[in-house]
Amino acid sequence: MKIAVISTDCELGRATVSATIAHAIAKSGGADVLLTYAGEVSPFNKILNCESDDTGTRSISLISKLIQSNSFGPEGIRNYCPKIVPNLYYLDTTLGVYKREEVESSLEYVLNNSATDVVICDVSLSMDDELTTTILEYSDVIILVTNPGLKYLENARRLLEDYDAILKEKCALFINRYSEDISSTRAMAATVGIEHRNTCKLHYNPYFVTFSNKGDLSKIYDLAYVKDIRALSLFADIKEILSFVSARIGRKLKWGVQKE
Amino acid sequence: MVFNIFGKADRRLIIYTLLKYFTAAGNDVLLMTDNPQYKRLIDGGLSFGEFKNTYIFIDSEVNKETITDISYTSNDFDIIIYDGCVTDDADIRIFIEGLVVDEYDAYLANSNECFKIQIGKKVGGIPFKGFQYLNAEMIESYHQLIEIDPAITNKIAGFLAGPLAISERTFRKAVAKVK
Repeated sequence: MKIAVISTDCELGRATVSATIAHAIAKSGGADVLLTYAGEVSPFNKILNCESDDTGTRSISLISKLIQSNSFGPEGIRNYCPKIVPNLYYLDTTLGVYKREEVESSLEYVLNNSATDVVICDVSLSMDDELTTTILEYSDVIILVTNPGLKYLENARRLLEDYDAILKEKCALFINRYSEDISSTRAMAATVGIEHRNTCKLHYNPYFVTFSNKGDLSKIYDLAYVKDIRALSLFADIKEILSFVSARIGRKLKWGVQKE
Repeated sequence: MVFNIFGKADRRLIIYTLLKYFTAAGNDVLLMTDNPQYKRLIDGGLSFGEFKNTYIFIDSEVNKETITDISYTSNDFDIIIYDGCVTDDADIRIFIEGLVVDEYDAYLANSNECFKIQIGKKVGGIPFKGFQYLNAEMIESYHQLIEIDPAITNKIAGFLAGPLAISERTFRKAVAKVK
């Protein structure tokens, strides 16, 4: 399954949403996840502290050359990607660091071949970019990240209208920095024009900022896993995400400490 | 998860405590009730509508079939609370025993597995206090969920911590949390 994560504006928390979906699936133990990025400056290097090693043995340039020479199969790509947590791999495809041709060929290979059970691609490029179009065409689900503000919801609705041909069938809405005090998810989904069943949310939590700045965002998912009071709402959010992914992947994914 | 809350007493004190926890935990809740007082929580005073992430549906008769009257299915919600009735699919039943006990409610409480909360009785129960209703009034007036009474929170935490798979301390902290 391939998931593309897009947003209408900058700074809406697209990277946080991508990382949350990736961690949710990886930590449930039901599937392997590959996290990638299509854009100029990768936020994952900072928030997940997953920079490529200094020797360059895992760089996208090498992977690109290996792909061209058919040196490994789809599963082999995992050996060249840093592991963030068990079952979660990161492929650094930052356009600002590597050549565009290398990034394009690697992303196309990853999306075309099932390297892992789930591939999540955070797309920060313009919707008119060729690479964006390629990623969206390969994706099974396109997650549109927005915030609860009316301005952002209106922008999301306009984006869906403008790119109706690509987004209509596959698009799901993801409301980041959600709060019940603003409005309900049903009302927000109705504003954007997406069914409520295709809507997920991520509650506002100041610990996202704290752990992101420390480069240790993975820690907050450990807190949610054990229902810590600091990440209590995140537990319900992740369960919602997993039920959404489970329905499409056809595999049951369980989250949290199971009752004996 | 399906909750049944029944008994001839003011059930709002218990339901507001539960709603406070489920809101803090980020759960989607459906509240099916026959109590028109909940109209105060809905904008415009309608019989159905949303209060935070709780969808409230008020009808003169509440039963399991009532859910077909709304445009959602039971799968759209994490938690469903039936106020004032007992359904066969309930995971947790809470019997609120007031000063006057209805015979039928006592029969339902005895014939089904349920948790019991005594309100208004001095021995082993939670006594009525003015601030409980003051807090309920504040919730309905200002549309902000607050803790009704720490004694009620402790009582509910005691038996809900297990089924909800959380610690009693986490439950109490989530209910007492002020945004």
